[in-house]
Amino acid sequence: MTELFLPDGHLTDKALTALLDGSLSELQRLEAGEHLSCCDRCVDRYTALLTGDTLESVPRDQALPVMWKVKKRRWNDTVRRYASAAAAVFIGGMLWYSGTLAAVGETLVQPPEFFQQQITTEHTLSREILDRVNDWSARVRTAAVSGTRTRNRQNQESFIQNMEDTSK
Amino acid sequence: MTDHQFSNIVSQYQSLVYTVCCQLVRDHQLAEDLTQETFLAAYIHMEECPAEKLRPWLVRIASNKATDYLRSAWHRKVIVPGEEAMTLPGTAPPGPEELLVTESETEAIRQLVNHLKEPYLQVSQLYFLEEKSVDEIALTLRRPTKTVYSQVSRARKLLKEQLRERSEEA
Repeated sequence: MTELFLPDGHLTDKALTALLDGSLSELQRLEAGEHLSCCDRCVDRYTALLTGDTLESVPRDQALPVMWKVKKRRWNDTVRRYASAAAAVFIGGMLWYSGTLAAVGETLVQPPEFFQQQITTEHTLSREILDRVNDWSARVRTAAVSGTRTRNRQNQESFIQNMEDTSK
Repeated sequence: MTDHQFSNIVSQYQSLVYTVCCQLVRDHQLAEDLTQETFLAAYIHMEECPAEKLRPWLVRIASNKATDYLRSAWHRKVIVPGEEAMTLPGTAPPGPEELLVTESETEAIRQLVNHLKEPYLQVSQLYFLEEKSVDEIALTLRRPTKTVYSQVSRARKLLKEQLRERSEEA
């Protein structure tokens, strides 16, 4: 049985030769392939062996099928991109017309709780100040009105007195 | 890179990629499919490849594709260790006494692990003896996570067979 790996974990020369001549079992090919997938050194050694006669001829030219797959992939990517954009526009339109966005907007416009508390506090303070001012203005107005009335009454009485004195 | 330039690369390296795939999977039709997948992956990641390293880079991608196929084929063929007990009808799950591993058994497993060969030795030592996770082992050994996972799985199967042989001999 071919010893596949060296104690340091790399593939042996015999393993690489056996891989080339096709004498490895399925499990050994899997183990060798797994190692080649992650070891630069062994890939370089293996690539160096793949020259001239060791290369197998391809049954049919692969350029056309590969380029066809490349174009198909590119087309799929384009379709996927446009489909995503169209879906986003459609969902956005649905949300807009159903009024969901407006409701969300109203919720967002509401000030945060901290500011609401501040506004309420400020509102209470300003109301107290306003009430006091109103109270003072009411008192002043009352005093003024009562003063006017008193003056009016005194004027009226003195006028009547004058008239009576004149008629006598 | 233009389509024409990439088409030239395909024409130039198709024999190399096809040979790698063929040598790993030993099936011409499958090797053709894997060759096309290899070039498609190369087209997608072409910017990551240094121009002077194109040959080994393509060999690496081809061996990745072939290994992925071999790995999934191997898993389909082999029963995943640990599933036999669950699939056998009429068998009760093992009790705590049966699950208890004695010190001598632990020592026997340790010896078996230390006598495994690469590519299972380091993986098994880290996984079974040092109880590292698959991700940690992948980082330590610089191997892909799925490679470590499948190596642990195969190492477990190997150990199980060896333990069975030992108990039969005893």
